[in-house]
Amino acid sequence: MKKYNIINCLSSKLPFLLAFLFFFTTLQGFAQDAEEEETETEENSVYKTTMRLSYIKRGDDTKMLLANLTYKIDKDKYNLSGFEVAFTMMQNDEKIDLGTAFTNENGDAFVYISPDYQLFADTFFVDFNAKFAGNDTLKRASKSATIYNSRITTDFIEEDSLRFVKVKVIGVTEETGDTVDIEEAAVMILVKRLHSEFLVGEEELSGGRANIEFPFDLPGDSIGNLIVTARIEDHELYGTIESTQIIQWGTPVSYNVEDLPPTLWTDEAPAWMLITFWIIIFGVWIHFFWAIVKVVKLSKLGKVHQKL
Amino acid sequence: MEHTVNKNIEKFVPYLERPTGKWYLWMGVLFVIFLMGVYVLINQIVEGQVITGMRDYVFWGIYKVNFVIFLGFSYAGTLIGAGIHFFKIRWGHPISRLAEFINIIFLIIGPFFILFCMGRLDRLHYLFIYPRIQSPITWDVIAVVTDLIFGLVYIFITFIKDFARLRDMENLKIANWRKKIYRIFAFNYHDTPEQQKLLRQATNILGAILIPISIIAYSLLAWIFGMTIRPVWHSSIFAPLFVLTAAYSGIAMLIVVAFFYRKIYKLEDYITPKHFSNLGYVLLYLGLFYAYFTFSQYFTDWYNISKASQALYSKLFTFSEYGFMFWSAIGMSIIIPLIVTGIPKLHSIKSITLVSGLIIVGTWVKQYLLVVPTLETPFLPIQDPMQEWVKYTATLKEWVLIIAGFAAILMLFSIVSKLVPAIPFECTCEEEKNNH
Repeated sequence: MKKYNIINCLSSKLPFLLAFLFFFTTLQGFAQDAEEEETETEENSVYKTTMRLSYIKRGDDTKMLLANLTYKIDKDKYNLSGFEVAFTMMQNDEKIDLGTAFTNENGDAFVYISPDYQLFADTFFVDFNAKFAGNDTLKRASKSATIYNSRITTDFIEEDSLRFVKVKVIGVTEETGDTVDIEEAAVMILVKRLHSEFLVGEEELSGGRANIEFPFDLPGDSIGNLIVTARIEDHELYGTIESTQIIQWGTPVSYNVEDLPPTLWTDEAPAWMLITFWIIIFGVWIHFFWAIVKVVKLSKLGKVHQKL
Repeated sequence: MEHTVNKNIEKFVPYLERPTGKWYLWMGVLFVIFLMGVYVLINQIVEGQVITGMRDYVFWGIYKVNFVIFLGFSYAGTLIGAGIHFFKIRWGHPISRLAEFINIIFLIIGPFFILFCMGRLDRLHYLFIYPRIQSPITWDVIAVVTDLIFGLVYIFITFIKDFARLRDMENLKIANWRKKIYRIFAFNYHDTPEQQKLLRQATNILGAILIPISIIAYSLLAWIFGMTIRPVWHSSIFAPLFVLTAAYSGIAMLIVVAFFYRKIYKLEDYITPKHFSNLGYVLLYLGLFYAYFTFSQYFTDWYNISKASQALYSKLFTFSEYGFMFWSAIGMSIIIPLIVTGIPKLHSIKSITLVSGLIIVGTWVKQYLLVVPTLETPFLPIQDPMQEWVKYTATLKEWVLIIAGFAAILMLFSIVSKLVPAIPFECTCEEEKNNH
């Protein structure tokens, strides 16, 4: 009887036991999956990095190499700051170290090449390279760019009561190194403002030339000077090339703001303040005396009442 | 005199007559504390402010905090007292006298604390000899003096009826000089209809003008801070926030004062749980505004990108600096009061009084945080100063003067309560009528 009861009891509890076992094993399975996922995450913790390399030739003939270092998590891109980037160039089959630089908060690292250094003295192109060595969590990255020699010149002319910036751009061909006019590239005319550059105009080069009208009403410095830049951005052969000049084509603006007179520190208070002050004082004290008059009247009435 | 002295008035007679031994003992203790304060003050005048924690950077310390808080109580007392009379808030009549006590007593003691901040007290009279209308200090001096005169006259006018009744109480066992005082300040009042009308008019006129005076006077005090180029201070919200803080902490002070008067003078028939509950609701609404203004003040300034503001907020939110004080002040003056006053089930005389005490402490601490950390963090710091010049810590002597100030306040409350009843006799007569 007792045995029967136990079996009966077990059979009635069987579905619950099975359900418990199922959940237990499933939980175990989940735990294993989690462990596997964790391992995968550990493997994936070496992030892929991306590098961009730009060559910028300034108006003063300074050249700058700019490397931008980023990494991606899912689809989001993040700048890598504080990492060392090594810059080199190949010139006549000779590898030359240009130096190293650390990326800033925007992920940019850059080196300058002095205008005195004749980059294209014996050759018409140079191979540049930027390399990030990587570390335990970030994969290595490098980028190369071949830059051909080019030159940009600007002329500022006034014709028929109009002002123009005439731009001429020449470069060497990829194949032979012969000098040709650069075609099918947009040239921009920019004027330096306080925090950014103001785009005056943009035109496609035709026969290596562009002719962009310049306005008369741009505010300049105290004598009307403007810093004007003609620029072609990120050309596939020549990189970014630009020419900058100062020209007195702006309207003079005096930036010397005279200090406002320290009115409150003069011997006399301003009239409006004195008037307001006396109005408030008068308004307040008239109420005071009005109330006092009432009390005096009250006191006099009391005396009369006492006599009666 | 037409009216007769009713039984309820007679309840007050023992408190107005010859003081008891307990009263003298209480006054003796307070006087000893007060004398300690006088000793420290003499010490400060002789030695200079080197005995305090105030230096080149922090030239205002807890003295200034007390000055602002005491004047806040005073202006709030004016607002409440005059408001009850002017807007004829009947349920508030029994506590209007206490509000007037708060107004006058804190206004008498408060200004002393700003004098303690001054390094050259011997030049104090220059403020009156060479006043500059364009200086907020001058505005404040004029406002405080005006408010003191108006407050004193107003309180005397509201006392006239009671002085007349006290004058007519033949069985009152008091000294002759006191009877003489009652006779003089009763202004021949005999409760005739004409006199009633004139007295009502005088009270209304002064009450009406005292309300804007209080708002202007406390705004002027706020502008002493606000007209200065310092982080947090130079803000248009400062004056309204000061006025609101005064009203909020002033109501809290009124509740605390009412609680003790109710206990000591057995005023349970006049100051009822309803008063505490109603004042609790007033605290709730003012507390909500106070929370909104405080948030608005700090939130707007938090977006200020100046280095000094950033440094100041870093100090206020860092627990190793002022973080504990800051969040305690917010908890005591905003969070706990809003919870207790916002839930009617939590309303009781003790809970409302306790919360009021917290509000007083919380607003005091917040005022400290408005004064000291800001002075420690100027826009233009002194180059390479000694650390002791930058960081302010109140000295024991400063605390003695603060405690002596509170002792003086309690002494004045005790003295004034011996001269006039804490509840207007008019209320006791109404009570008598209602009973019949």
